[in-house]
Amino acid sequence: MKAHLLLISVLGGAGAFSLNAGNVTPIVNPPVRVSGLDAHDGSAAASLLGQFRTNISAWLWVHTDLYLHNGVHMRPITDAERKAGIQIEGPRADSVIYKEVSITLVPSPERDYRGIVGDVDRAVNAWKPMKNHTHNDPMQTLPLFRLMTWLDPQFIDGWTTGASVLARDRSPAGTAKAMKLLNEGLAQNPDSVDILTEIAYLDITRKNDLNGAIPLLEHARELGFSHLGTIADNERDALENTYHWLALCYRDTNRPLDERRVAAQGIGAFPDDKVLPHLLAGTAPGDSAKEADSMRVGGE
Amino acid sequence: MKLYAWGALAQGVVLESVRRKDLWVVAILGFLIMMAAGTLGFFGMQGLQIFVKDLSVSVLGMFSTIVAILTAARMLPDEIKQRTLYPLLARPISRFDLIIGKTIGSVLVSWIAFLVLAALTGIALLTFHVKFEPIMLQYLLCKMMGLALTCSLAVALSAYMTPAAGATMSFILVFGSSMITRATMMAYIGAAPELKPVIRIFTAIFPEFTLFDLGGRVANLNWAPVPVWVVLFLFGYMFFYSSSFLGLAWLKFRRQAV
Repeated sequence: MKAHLLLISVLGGAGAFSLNAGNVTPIVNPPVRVSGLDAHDGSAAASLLGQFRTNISAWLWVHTDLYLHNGVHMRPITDAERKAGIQIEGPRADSVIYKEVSITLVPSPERDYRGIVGDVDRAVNAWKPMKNHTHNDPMQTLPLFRLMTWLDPQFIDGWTTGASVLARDRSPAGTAKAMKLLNEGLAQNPDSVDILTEIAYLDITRKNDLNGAIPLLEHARELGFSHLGTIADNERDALENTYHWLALCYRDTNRPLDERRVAAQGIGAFPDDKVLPHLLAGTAPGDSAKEADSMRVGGE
Repeated sequence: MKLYAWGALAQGVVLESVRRKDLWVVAILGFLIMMAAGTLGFFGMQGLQIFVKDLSVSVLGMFSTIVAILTAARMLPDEIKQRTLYPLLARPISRFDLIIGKTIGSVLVSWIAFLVLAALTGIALLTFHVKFEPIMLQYLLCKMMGLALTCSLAVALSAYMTPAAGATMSFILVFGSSMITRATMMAYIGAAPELKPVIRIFTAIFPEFTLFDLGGRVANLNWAPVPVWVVLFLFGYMFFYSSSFLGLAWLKFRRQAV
């Protein structure tokens, strides 16, 4: 009797699964990372090569931070260090590149108990006091972004951060270069919410072209919302920005119904968001081109 | 001191290394470096100078350390295994002389490998107009001291372990030195008060191989050469730890049945 019940349950479950098979969503690989890597399914060599290029591009990514600090290794401050009263060694107030919560890897004298060995450690390494530090010109790191996106075209952060560096030059030429890089990235990653949103961001902040940005943001929103459960972290941050800017664009083009529709969907996707409730209530005054900079999730 | 005996033993190690074609491996690695530099030239060197210098000093440090460890870790065990130790010990030299002479030989091999690689890398970089600052000379000097310390460690470990285990432990200690030191210092902040003295003692005893690597200053721009007292301190540091390691090797080897 038990065997019959078990068999019926299994068959019933299999039937229900087969009926819903079309609705099953992939939960392992976010859609953006899959494109272009199909060869790894059948070829060990292709898999190894893919891992190699991904590792190299990640290594280059880490090194861009190092070069911006002229070789001084920084690391995040730990909870124990915070509790011990150690202060972060952040950038100068006028620095717009990073919101760093970090300290130097080679400890400063006040954190070092090694005496003369500590002094020698600081003397032989690229170390200097980093409280209120400045950065090297980010333009120096552009060739690295070019190299990492060439090695791993699916590395979204390489495209978007490289474009951010180019777009720091707010002239039309700087914007055009950033747009060119992003469109190249979009051609390699047509499903990337981050790249679409970054292009729209430049349309809004550099060209004040809200009508040009809206279709891009709508496309990004649709892509992101349809993969909300499986989306990668950086894409998720970008999607949150997408909702902000899309709602703002609708507000500034006098489309209040669309503004509320987008804000309501955004709140459903990001319940902790602080901006979207204001947009839903229609109480967010201002200029979307200026607000886009201040509302950016994750920082530049 | 039997300087003549040490010199003869060291010369034997260098000749053995040439005979075993170890230095050919270095030449091939150097050729690969040149090829890799040529590949990077594909992207244009404008803006990539720092990256290329960083990569070069990393590769230099890594390959020369590998050569140093693999040469030093197999010397004593090979002499015992191939029974070539007997004719050596039949001569008027002590086991202490043997350890010192062999270690000097492995240091020379690692220095030759390092300087050959450095020269090839330098040529490759000069073709792309990548310039090094005067601190490069200090980098070479300090790295050579670091290689001497590395060889001493590998000799000591090979006296207590099999060649493979000795080499593996040497790799872990040399390449992991920076990580172990930094992790220990991070752990110190949150450690229980009774544990803090233990961590301090460990940090004081543990040799910091990373002190001999000025690669970070060489690769990046506008770092001044290190003060002379630092170089002198590093020499003393190398001398103290190398002597300690070789002393440990001798303690084991002097009573070892061959």
